[in-house]
Amino acid sequence: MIRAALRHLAGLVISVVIVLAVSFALMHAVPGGPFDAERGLHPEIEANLARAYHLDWPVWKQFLQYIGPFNLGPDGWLGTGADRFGGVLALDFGPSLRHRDYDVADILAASLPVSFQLGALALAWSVPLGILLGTLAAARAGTWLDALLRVLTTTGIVLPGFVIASLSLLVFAFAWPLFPVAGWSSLRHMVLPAFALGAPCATYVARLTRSGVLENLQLDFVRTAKGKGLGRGAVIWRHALRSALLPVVAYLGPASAAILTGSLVVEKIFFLPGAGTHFVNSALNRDYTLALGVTLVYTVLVFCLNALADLLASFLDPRVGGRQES
Amino acid sequence: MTLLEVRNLRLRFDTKDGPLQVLDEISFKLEAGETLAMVGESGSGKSLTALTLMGLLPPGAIIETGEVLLEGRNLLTLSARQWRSVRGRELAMVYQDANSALHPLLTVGEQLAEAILAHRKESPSEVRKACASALGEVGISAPEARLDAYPHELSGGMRQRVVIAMALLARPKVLIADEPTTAVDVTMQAQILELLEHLRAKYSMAVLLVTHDLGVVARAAQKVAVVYAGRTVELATTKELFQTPLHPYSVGLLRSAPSEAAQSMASVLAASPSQGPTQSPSQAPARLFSIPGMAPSPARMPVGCAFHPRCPFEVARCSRERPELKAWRVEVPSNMHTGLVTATSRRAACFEQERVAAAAVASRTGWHELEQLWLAKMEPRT
Amino acid sequence: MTEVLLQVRAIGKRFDVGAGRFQARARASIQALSDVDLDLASGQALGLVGESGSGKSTLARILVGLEQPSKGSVRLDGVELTTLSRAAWRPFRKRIQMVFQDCAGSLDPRQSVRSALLEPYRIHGLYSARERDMRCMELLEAVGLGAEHWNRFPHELSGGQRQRVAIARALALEPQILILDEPVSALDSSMRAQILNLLIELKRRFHLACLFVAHDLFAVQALCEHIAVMYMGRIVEVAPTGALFANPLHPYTQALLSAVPFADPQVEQQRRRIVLQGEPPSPMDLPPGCAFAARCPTKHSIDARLCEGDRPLLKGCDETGLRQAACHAVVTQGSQS
Repeated sequence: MIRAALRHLAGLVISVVIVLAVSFALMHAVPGGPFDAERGLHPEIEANLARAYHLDWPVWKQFLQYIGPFNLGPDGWLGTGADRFGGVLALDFGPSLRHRDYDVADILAASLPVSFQLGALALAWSVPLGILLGTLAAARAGTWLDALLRVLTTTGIVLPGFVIASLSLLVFAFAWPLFPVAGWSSLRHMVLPAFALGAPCATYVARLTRSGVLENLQLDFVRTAKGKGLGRGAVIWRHALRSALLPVVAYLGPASAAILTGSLVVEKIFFLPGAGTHFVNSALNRDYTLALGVTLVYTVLVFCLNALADLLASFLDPRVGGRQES
Repeated sequence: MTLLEVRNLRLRFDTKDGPLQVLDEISFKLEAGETLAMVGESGSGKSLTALTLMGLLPPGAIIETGEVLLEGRNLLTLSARQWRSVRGRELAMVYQDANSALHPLLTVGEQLAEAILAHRKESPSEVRKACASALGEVGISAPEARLDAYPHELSGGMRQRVVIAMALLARPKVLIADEPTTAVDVTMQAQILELLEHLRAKYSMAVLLVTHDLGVVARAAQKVAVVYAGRTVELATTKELFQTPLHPYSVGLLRSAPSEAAQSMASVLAASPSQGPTQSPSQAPARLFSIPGMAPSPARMPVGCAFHPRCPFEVARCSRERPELKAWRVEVPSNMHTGLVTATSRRAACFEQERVAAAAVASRTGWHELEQLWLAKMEPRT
Repeated sequence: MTEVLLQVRAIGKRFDVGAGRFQARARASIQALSDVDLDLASGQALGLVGESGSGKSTLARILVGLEQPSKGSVRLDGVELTTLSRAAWRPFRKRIQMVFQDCAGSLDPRQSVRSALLEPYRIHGLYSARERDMRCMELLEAVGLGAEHWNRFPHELSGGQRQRVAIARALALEPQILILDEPVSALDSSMRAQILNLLIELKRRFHLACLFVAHDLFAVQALCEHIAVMYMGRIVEVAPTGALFANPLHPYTQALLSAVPFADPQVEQQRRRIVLQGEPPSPMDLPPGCAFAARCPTKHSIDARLCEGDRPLLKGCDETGLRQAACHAVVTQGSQS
């Protein structure tokens, strides 16, 4: 078990380094820089700014500086005194190049909890509901209920996020003011965004579950279960659903990472201070440090959630990782 | 009262290419404490009959006529709720492929427990005890420990035993074993057959043994129902069937099975001086007999008797009318050490029963003639 | 003595197990085959019989190059096959062909009979298109199928017909050696007889050397001149078919023979039946002595310690040396008589 954990950790470190290197290189390869937007900046000031953030260095040097506290400068450690930058290895993501009064860490600390709360809430309703609806649809395959659920899930998958968000706003905030339009202060504020964020996930989970359960209902072990005299409920929920959950779990690994880091569309529409916004804006603004920080968080999150999904799958499926006797 | 009686069961599937008549009058009787073998080729409807008895027919199957009487009660009229109390408790099934019949993600213990809990409430410790003793009964060592094992952790033979234990837990009156030994090797087959026999005797269960192997029939069954193209063509005790088959299809089946005759032939070969690696290639090994032609598909069933295109005893009537499964009351002249075959409860669906029986009796001294008859029949077709 | 085509000497095969996702190194290894010797001569068939897990299929796979042996040698016409590279195997692949048990699985469901039969020619780049078609027709006819099956797909064929196609495909390159891995186990008895008859005829017609792997002694009886019985990766008895059936020497062979039910209720009632109890030992942890000792019904009639402590070797049991058995009990019997 410890060996396995260590192997996973090593994998994580390698992935992070690769992801960071590639993102770093790509970002610097793209034309433009962090200060382009500040129009009319005197060339000398811009040069000073660039020097201050070591943007005048070769890219490889900048990357090494970003990674860790290596001694690269002509005069010892890079950066000196108060603005000494520790690098990622010291868990220092540096200052944001755009919001110069803030460190990347500050920005993430302020926005990630919002995204996490929202994402957790979205997952909390969408996954169980998706599984429930998917199983129901499979159990009643071919009936009006199945047809209705199919229409619903197709709609959920086809409709873009901003349509779902705007529609829910129109209906539940304007036409029928049950929930506030925007903002982030109470649980009631979270309901509509969590709905908009979770809806595509719920529909996808429902589809996966439905097809999985339907497939399993044809299998021999389900026939065995019926042959024991088990009722239809036990056959579906205990036997058919159990193995249908494996693909759902596999899907949820990466999907929940995306949901937990927030969505630009949902955050824009509901005016939420989440991390999804930074994700897009930092890249557009060439805010190198912030973009890298967000990428780093996302990579770690995807990795951890995938590991979690693997672990969950191995709990569900005793055959994973074991020796199979023939 | 007869424990289980199937009467004129007819079943079809409606497909987009038209109806498929897959069962066309299946009939047999099964008494407590006896083993009835249902024999036939794959596709003859044996497994579908078994599934009908369990009420586990695949969607789309339509029962046209017929009755399945369990102690006089017609199972085909049961509601879904009533079925549930019959399935597993009065009728239980052992499946062909134990590997796929067990849920891969549930432990053996969990799956066994369900067989009890589906029918009565019991405390977890009692359930566990019952499951462990059932595993012990089917010859699994260290049953307590195996309860927590997953199916993939067991060998193929053990999985089949688990499936048998599961069927036994609710003490069913009838055990339906659908090709229980087809997926295992001969050593395991011998063990499983012995186990089934032991359990039948111990609990005086009735066993319906579905198989295509006449060797299995000879070893394990007291009575036989021969099925061809979805129809019972012959009913007899095992001894009667092997002595005097009345249906030409039974004759062919018997002839193509590995028998003592085959073994003694091998011994003769062994005694010949030319044996050895230098055995000349010209010394051709004897050809094995198989009934010429192929079983008809339900989509293209011959008119009249379904077997007539392959039958060496065919008469003009056979391609027009279908012979009923009727009692046999004709005596055959005794031949060799067989004695008289007298009127019994035997039934066969053939117009030419007498000729078949006489030929079968004669063939015991020399199969050659009958085989020539068969070959001659197929000659113009091929 | 007919000329030996394929010579197998001291083949051993070890599989590592347990190297999974959460386990970097193998936990144990399985000894699937040890010290297996075989000879195949053209026009002759050898039956290889044993229960599942006895290593018979592994041996078959080694002979066609699907698996590398851990030790030992396989020689075809004197050429060592085990050390050949993939490219060097190619010409030999034409000469050794295999038919699998699961013919449904070994035929591509989206490939018609025709294209399945043409494939070997395509791969090896043989013959012109016209000639290929002609040869395929001949093949179909040889295995008892007609032109009407030409464009069918596997799901439109019965199990027996699929096996016929698989056999035809194996014959396409005119091999000298045919390895048959349980070719009839999945078929019911009437189909089984038809396929066996076909194999008997093909063997005679093309003068094939066959290795017929099966768990059922009766299946191999019809085709094979000799039978080798395997148990836990070792050959425990070799004999001419007739002699083996008339007088099986090894207790395991006796048990195997008595396990097959005869289609005769009277014989079944009278017959002495040896039903082996228990399961074979774990191949990860084979006992030092005879692997069969724990289940052997005759072990106690001789010195049990001998069987459990000392592994019996395959020894000749009659003057000709054609009958061989690996059993302490048999050897003592032989010297007495």
